[in-house]
Amino acid sequence: LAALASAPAQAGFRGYEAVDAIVASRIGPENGQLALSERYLPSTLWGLMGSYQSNRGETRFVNGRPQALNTSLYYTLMTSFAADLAQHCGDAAYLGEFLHPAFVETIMAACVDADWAWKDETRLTALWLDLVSYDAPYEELTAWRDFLHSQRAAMRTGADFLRLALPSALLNPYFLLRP
Amino acid sequence: MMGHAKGITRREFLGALGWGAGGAAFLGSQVSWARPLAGLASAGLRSDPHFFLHVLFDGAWDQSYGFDARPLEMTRAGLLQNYLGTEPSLWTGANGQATWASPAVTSALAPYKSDFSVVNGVLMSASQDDHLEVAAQALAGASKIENFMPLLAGSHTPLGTVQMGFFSSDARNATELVDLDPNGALALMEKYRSGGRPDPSSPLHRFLTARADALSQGPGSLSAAARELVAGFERSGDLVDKIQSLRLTPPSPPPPNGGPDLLPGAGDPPVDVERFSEFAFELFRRGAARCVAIRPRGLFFDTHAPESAAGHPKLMTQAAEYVATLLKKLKDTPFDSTRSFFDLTTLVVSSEFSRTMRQENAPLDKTGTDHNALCNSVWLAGKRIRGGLVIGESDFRSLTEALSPAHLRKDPRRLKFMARPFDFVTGRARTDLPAELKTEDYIGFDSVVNTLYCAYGVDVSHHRKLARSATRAPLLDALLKT
Repeated sequence: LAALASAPAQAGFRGYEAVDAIVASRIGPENGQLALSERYLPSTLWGLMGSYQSNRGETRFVNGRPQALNTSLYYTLMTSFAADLAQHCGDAAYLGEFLHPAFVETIMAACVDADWAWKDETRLTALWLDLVSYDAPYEELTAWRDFLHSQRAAMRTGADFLRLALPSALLNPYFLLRP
Repeated sequence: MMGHAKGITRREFLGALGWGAGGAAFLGSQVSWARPLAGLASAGLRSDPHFFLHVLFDGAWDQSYGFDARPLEMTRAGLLQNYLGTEPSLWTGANGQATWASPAVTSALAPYKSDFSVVNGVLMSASQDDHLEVAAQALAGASKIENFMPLLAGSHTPLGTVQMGFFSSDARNATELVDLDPNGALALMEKYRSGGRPDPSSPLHRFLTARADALSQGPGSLSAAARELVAGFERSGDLVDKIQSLRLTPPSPPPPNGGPDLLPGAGDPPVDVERFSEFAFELFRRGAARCVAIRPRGLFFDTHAPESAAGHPKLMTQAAEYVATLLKKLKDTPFDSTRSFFDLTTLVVSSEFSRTMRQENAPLDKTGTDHNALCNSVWLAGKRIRGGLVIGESDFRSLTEALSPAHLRKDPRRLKFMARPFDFVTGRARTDLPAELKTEDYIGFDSVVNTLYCAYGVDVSHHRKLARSATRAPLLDALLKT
């Protein structure tokens, strides 16, 4: 009964804690913690992205239904993450502080070679799977690849690539939403 | 009121359509324009700013320290605890109806007597007395699927209804209820300034909107959420512009636990009403939201224990001071050159329900109070609301008063006062003693909501129905300015 009472009433965002945990499990360091929300947003805003809150014994999942504010917060979160990585493109020591070594290797490769993503189609697929795994259907992967190809002229550096590739994957609705 | 020559300029016309100066007074004076603009209004282009403030005091207040007080003879007879120990005074409305009013509220609110009306004898629930349950029914109706505030807000602003505190979020239209407080808004502004600002014209934003739109085409719940996500993306640019235009004072210290500064709790300092009103007015002025609701932190009225019940008079005094300050701010703060926020905002003040007169088997000087959903008071003021009235009554107002069989069935131990039946035609409480409780005989919160719907021009199809009936909850006509 307690589980039923705390179940979200409607589909919506997974919530910031779930998103943080999933991202951490995929690209975070093995012995550390990657908490995107904590890293890139002030604490006052976390609860506005979908969270469990309690009041006098009743716990509810609140702020999970998408609207302009929480949608903009997820956008800000993921673009801030990408901007941080882009700003430190090539700084393996910095990236290694909060990312898994294998993911750092991928980022470093993209940073060193602006054409890294285009030389081998499997690289984009691997990056997608690193971030989104199998949360989204195959059509989303192809749409993402097509989008990046369409923007190729605008991505002159590895940093440009990260700024576009990461949020366009991490803000995919299949990844952010739950039924 | 603004005076105008026969001809109007393009600027005046466009101003009347938007949020700026002009509005209803202007439109009302231009008969030839009024008709087509009435059509535009029904299409969603409201020309007449009408904001909404809801203050919901947390934990159920005790009306006997408010505008539904009882003489001390009730205390001397052992029926009603009164930790204030002061005789109430008679508070007579401009409509000739009167109620006993406690000094806990009159000292702060007497200067505003003609500005607000008191609705007493509001039957909140005949069967429930749980805080969140009754609050959810009040906010979103018996079916709890349609919160009333987004209907007042319409779709004109990116945030719609902003709320501070723990409100029901299960309603079907909960998407349009957004938790945001001044500290959150300031943090957001800072974050937008330092990067990460959504840009709807960017390829990334357009791609994400397209992916959400693709998912939204399906029939399931995920697609329904994706449709809301599309709307969220589409409105985020407008939201960012309006959030960045807010002018707010620096943040207050964060709560000790570092979490969201939203939840009320006993012992917290009350939310600064000055800051709250500044925030609400900024949201209104910038077109970011049309409704703002708050459960003020630190004013927690759920005084079951005798020790906390003894503090209830102070809580009511603080609540009255809170409302008096809010009324003063509404009246003193200009929206434009001719109108204050009081002219453009409807204010509703309420709590979940009322409290029992005492606890059974406890001495009167050491008793707490329990839940009483058979009664409540609602205070209303501002735009489209006639001030200075007293409407409705509760029973058990004297030692000798006979209680109705309907009352005694619900309250056999005679611990509560209960709403009196109400004659919606004459606008007066009835004096008969019903054998059974029929909700249609009483002022319910649904009637308050329908009256607000009427004031805001909400389509009649949304009006709330009486329980197990196709009949709409009747309006409190006397409250509405024509």
